[in-house]
Amino acid sequence: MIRRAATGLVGLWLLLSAVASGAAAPNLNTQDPASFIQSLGEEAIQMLSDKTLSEKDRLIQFRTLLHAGFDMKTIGRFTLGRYSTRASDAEVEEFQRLFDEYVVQTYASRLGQYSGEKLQIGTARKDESGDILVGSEIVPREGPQVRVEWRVRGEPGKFKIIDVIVEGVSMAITQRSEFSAVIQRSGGKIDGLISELRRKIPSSY
Amino acid sequence: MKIQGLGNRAFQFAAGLVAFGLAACATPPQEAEALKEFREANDPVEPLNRYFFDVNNFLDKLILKPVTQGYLLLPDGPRAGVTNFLRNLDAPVILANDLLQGKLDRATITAGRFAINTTIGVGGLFDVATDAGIERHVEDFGQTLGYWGASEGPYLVLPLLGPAPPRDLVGKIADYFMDPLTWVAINSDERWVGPVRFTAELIDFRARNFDEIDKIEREAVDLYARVRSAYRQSRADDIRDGKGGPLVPVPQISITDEGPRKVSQGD
Repeated sequence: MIRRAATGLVGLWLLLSAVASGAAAPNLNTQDPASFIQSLGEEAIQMLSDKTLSEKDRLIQFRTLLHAGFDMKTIGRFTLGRYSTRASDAEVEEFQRLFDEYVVQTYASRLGQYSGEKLQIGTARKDESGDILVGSEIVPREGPQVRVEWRVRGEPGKFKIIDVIVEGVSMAITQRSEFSAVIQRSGGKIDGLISELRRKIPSSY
Repeated sequence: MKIQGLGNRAFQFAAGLVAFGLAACATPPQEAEALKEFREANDPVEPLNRYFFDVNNFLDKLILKPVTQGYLLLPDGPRAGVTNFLRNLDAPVILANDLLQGKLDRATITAGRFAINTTIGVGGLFDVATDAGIERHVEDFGQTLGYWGASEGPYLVLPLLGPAPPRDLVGKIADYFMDPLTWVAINSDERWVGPVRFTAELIDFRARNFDEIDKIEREAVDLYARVRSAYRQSRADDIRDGKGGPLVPVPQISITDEGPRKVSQGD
């Protein structure tokens, strides 16, 4: 029933499980956005295919790599949209903490599912805002490839991903419209979203 | 997705829904920023849409999901055959829409795939064209309308059909009538063809995305809003044939570092 919409989201686990690993100290000191994504992907695949890792260790490494590769603060603020300017500092801070945990836990369940997918880097282009969009394909052992674009910001040695676009569906934009729907239902209050996120994080704290 | 088997009744039903929808409009907010957001969401009948979305989800849990679980007991081979067969049936409509968009190279691909898969692929059961490197793409009349500049219109969710904003709803109806299979079924008085095909497509889709749908449902904080956003982006991407372009209207994509955040001004 949610056909196409889901089609866009299917393969979503691929993208983060493609980066869902992480050496203790990922070497992401790269000179251009494309090789940044390339080395992030290599780190990811190496860790994902390491079947000796315990679930707990894999989660720890996932968190490390997530923070090394993604600018979670910027993504979090974007997903809050206009509400980030009308919430208190404490609320925004609490949201950021929960958002981070939400992303980690959301993808944690997908970490064990790696089955030989490869990340093939394509061309990079600059968009009007100055961000670099690195094109790529996630190539499974069999079946259709998944087209993934990585929105990268920063300078050589300090690149960070701020959005992942899977088959034309931006994770940041999708997440933002979801969050703003929750906030609107709570009468424009961010604490409605905060308690909703708490509920979604299994090992809440 | 097509509306086989619904035929003319779908028209009457849609007209009735629009009338009902007007009565179920969301009230636009007063505040300027909130009003802007309301317009961006472009979902004036959101309460009604959410209702149908819930109905569809309920029907999914009640019927579609259990049926699909049974279907998934079949081995991969036969299920792939079903997928291939159903996709091959879509080829004439895809071809028509390739042509309506003036994309001759893509039309050639669709026609070639149909010829190969229908013959060597034993009536479409095997996708030998893809194995030979001739990859499938999808077109429909909603995309054709979008390609020629029609806007999507306000968001709409229909029972059984799912997301169907006006452009795509018109597209589904047009696809139904331009499909040769529709006329073959009607002329030979085989009325079961449409509903059976529609049902098979639902089960096939549900089966191919079984785990993923479960996960998305578990993870989402607002499944309706997530699907609405993803549907629109996905359709826009389809219309561009997956080629890079503006993701969404520009104001929505600026991910900026605002620096130190000002304390709430209160409003």
